[in-house]
Amino acid sequence: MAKKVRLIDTTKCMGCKGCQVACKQWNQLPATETTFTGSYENPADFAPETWGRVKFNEYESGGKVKWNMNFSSCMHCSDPACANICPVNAIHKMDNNAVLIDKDTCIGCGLCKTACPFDIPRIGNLTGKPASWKCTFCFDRITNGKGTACATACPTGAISYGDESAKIAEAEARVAELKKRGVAGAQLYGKEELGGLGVIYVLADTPDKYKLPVNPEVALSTYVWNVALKPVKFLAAVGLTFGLIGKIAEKKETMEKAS
Amino acid sequence: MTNHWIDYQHSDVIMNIGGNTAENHPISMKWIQKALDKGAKLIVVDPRFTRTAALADVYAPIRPGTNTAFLNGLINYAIVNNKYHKDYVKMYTNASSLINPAFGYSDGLFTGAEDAPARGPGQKSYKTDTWTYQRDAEGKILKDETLQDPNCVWQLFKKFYSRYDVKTVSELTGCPEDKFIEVAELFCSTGQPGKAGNISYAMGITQFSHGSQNTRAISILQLLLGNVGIAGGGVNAQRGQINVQGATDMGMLYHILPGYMPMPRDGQDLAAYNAATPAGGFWVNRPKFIAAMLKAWYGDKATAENDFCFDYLPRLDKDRSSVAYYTYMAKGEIKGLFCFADNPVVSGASTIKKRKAQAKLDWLVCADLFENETAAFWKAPDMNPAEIDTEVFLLPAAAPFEKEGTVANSGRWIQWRNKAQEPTGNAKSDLWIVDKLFKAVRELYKKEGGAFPAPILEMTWDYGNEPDVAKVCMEINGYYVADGKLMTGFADFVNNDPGVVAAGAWIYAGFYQDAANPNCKRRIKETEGIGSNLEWSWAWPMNRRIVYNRASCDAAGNPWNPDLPVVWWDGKEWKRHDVPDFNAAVPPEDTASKAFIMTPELQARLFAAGMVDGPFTEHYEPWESVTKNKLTGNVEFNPCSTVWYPEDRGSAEDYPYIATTYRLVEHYQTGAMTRNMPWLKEAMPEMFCEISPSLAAKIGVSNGDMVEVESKRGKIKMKAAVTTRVRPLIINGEEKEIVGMPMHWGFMGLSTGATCNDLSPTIGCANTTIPEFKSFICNIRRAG
Repeated sequence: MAKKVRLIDTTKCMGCKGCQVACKQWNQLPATETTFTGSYENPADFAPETWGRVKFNEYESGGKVKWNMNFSSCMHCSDPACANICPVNAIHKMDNNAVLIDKDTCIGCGLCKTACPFDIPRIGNLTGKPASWKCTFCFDRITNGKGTACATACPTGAISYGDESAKIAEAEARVAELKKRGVAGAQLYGKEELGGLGVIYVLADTPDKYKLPVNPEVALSTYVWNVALKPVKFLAAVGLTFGLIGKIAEKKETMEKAS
Repeated sequence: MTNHWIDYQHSDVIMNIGGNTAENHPISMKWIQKALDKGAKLIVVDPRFTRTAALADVYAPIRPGTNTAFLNGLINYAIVNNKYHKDYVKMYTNASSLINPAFGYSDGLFTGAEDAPARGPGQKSYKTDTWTYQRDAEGKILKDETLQDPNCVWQLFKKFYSRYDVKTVSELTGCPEDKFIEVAELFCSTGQPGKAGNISYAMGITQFSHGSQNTRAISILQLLLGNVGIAGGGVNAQRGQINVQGATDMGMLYHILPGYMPMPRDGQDLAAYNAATPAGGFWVNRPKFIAAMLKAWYGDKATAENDFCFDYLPRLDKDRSSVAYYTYMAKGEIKGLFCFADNPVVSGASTIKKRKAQAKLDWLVCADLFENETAAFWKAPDMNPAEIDTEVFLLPAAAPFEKEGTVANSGRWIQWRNKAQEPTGNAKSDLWIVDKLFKAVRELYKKEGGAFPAPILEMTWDYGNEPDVAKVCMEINGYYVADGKLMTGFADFVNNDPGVVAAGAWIYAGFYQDAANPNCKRRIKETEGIGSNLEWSWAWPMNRRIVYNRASCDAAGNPWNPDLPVVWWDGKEWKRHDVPDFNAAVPPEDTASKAFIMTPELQARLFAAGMVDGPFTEHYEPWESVTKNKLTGNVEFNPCSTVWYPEDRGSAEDYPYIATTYRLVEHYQTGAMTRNMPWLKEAMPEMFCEISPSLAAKIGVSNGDMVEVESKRGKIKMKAAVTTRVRPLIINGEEKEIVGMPMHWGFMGLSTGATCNDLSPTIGCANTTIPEFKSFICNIRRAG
C-alpha cells in the first residue's frame, strides 16, 4: 500500500470540530469531562479517549485579530520516536505510514509520550489495562479503501487524505497559490520536519501561530535510550515494576517543562 | 434564498452580514471555499470576530442593531460613487415610477403617521394614502424613464439615502470609516455587469424590531448592484434549522396560509379575501390557489356554492405571534399549549416571563426527544412546583433520521429522505402523533358536538391507519379532483377553474408529480451547466433554482455575464441552465422590464408601500439602546413595533452595555438535542459570555471568571471569555462595550447553564413580530 498522508489546510479550517467528533464517533471513544476555560478549544488536552482535537490560537498581528484553528492529532512520523523508545516494541510503523500501538504488548509505561516531539500519546486504562492511546490513522478505514474519519467529516476540505506524493504536490500548489494572493507567510509544514511527517500542513503563518513546534526535535536522550537499552529492553520493561522507567519519564517531563 | 447553496461558488464577493455562516451553516463554507479558491473575496460584518471572520478577507465590526444604517450607507456609497448597475436599475426596478407628490418624511416618520396607542405609548401606525404611485386614468403607473422627475422613485430614493454618508454611518454603527470604505469598495465592485455579489444573512438581520427593514435594505442594495437573478448573486437567507424553510412554506407562521397566502382577517369572507388579490403579476391566480387548498382540506364538502368552506378557516383576529400569545397566556387567556419540537422557555423572548406564563396553563403537551426546559418549566430554579397546577404531557418524538419524509433547504430544494433507523423506544414521528391526535379530537367532536364541529368533522383526513407520508405529499403537491391525477405544475391551476384541482400548498405543485418516481426523490448530479442540478430533487417554484432569472440578461436576452449564463436568447429561442422565471415562449423584448413576476408592477421595488413601517429603510435604534439616533428626531426605535411591557425597558444609565446573542457550531438551537450529546457537551461544555479585555479590566474579571449579567428583565450567571475578538466601538463619539452570549443553555439535560433569553426583551419586528434577540442593553459585574 502506498504511503498515505493527512493534509491539513489550515486556511480552510473554520473550527467546526466535525473532525474531532467524527474521530470519537468512528472510534467509539467516550467523552471527556471538560470545563470552559475561556477558549473554544475543548477538550483542552489529549486523553486516552481523545485522539484528535481542534486547537484554537487567538492573537493580534498588525492590529488585526487572528484566530487560527487546526486539527491536531498523531503526526505518524516517518521515523517515530515513540516506536524507537518503546521498551516492549509495541509501536509499529506500517507501510501505509500509520504508526500503530499494539495494545496487547503495550504496558502503558508512558515513554512514548515523553519521546513524542508533539506530545500526543496518553496513558490510560480504556480497556482494562494501562496502555498508550493515540490516533490510529483510522487503520481500519484506510485499509478498507476509506479515508480517515476526520477527513471524511470535514465540510470544507481543510482535512483530506491520500497518497503522499499527490498530497504534497497539492499542498505545495496551495502554498504557491496563497502566496500569489498575498498571504506572505504561507508555508508547508511536515514535508521536511523530522524527515517527513504523515501529516502535512498548509499554514498561513509560522508554525507557532498554530501551536505547532517550529523545529520539532526528538530529544537526544530518546536515541541514547533506544541504542543503549536495546539489548535489555525487556528487562527495562520489567524495571517498570519498580517504577524505574516511570521515574525516568517523569524526570524527563520535568526537565522539559523547566526548559 | 433567491439562489441556492451550490450557487455560492459563482460569487465574486460574498458579504456575510448578520449571519455567521461557518458556525451556523458550516456546510455552506464548502461552497464559499470553492468561490474563494477561484479568487472570490469574503466580507464578514459582525459585532464579534467569529469563526467565519477568521476566514474572511475583510472583517468589519458593527454595533448590534445598526445593520440598516450600514446597508443604507452601502446603498448611498454605490449611488454617489457611481458604482451601481444603471441599466439593471432602470429596467428591473420601479426607479422610474412616479410617486404621489404628497409623500415625504421628516424626523424619523413618513407621511401618514397616526398615533397608535394599541401599539404602546407614543407608537404609530401609518395611513398609507400618500405612499402611492401616480397613475393615469386607466390605472397605469406614470413613469419618467429619464429618472429626472423629482417625484420619481429614483430621485426620492437618492435623496433619502444621501443622509447615510460614510461619517454618519460610521458614527452610528461604530465601524471605522476606513473599514467601512474598504467594505463598500469591495462589495460595490459587483455593481457592474459580469460581476456577482452575494449577501448571505441569518438571524443577525431579522431578529430586530426593524428586522424586515434590514432584509429590505439587503434587497435594495442587491437590486442596485444588479445582483438579483444572476448566478453568484442573491438575497440569501440562511435558514437556521433543518426544515424551517419547509415549515414556513407550509404556513406554520401565524399570519400566512401554506404557500405564503395571507391568513384571512377577522370578518373577511371569500369574496373580500379574493377582492384583495394583487392586480398584476403571478399572484393574480391567488383565488385559484386558495380554492385548491380548500379542496385539499375539505374535498367534496368544498364547493363553489359554499365558498369552498372558506368560512371554516380560523380568522386572524389580532396579533397571534409567539411573542403575543405568551402575553395572552400570562393573562390567563390561553388554557392549553401544544409544543412540537419547540423550546420557547429557552429560545423565546423574556424567558422568565414565559415560564411564569406557562404556569397559567391548564395543560401543556410537548413532543420532543428529551424532556426540555419548556416541558420541565415547573422544575426551573425560579419556579415553585407546589404553586403550579399545569398538567404536562411529554410525548416521545422521533429524531429527524428516524422518520421518512421531505425537508426543504434554504435554497428551496425539497429533498426526500429515507428513514435511517427505527425510532428509539416508543418514540413516534410528528405525523403519527398529529394523525392520532386529530382522529381522537374528531371522535370527541362526533360524540360531544362542540362549538363549531364542522371544520373538524368535514376535513379530509385519509392518510391511512398508520399515516403514510407519501399520501400527505401527494395532497400537498395537488391532484385533479375528478380522477386523482397528480398535478405537474402551475399550469394546472392557471388553466382550470377554481375547484378543479386540489393542492395543499400551491408552490409545491410538481414536487411529487408521480407516485412511483416523485421529483423530490431524484438524485442525478449535473454534468454540465452552472450547478443548477435540475435533476437533483426539486425546488419550488417549478424547480427553479435562481428566482427572477430574467434579470440575469439585458433587454435583448444577452446575459450580463456570458461566462455564467442562467438563461439566454440565442436569436431564435431562450436557452437555459435553469427553469426560466418568465414566459420563455416569447422573444426577450416582451419580457424586458418584467423580471419580477410576483409584484403587480412586474418590477422590483426600491420604494415598497407594503411595509408597515415605511417604504424606504430608515435606521431605527433597537428598543433598548445606548445612544441616540440623530437622523430620526424624537423617534428612538421602530415607531410601529408593539410595546407589550413598557416598564420592561431599561435605560442606558442603569444598563450601559450592549448585549447580543448568538449560536455556536457545537450546539444546535436551544441545545435540547446537543446538550444531551456527550461529545458535543465535551466540545462546548458551559454557558459563557464574551467581553473585551477593556471591559474585563473595568469590572475586574479575568478569562474564565464567573460574571453576572443583568438586564431590566433579570440576571444570570456564567463564565466570562475575555477576548480581543470582541471590541468596544466608538458610537457617536463615545466608546461602547459589547457583551455577547450564546443562546443554547437551560436548566435541563447533561449540560446545564443560564438561559440568555432570561434577559432579552419582549419586543418584535413591526412587520413580522420576530423578537429582538440581537440587541438589548445590560450591565455586567464580577460574580463571587
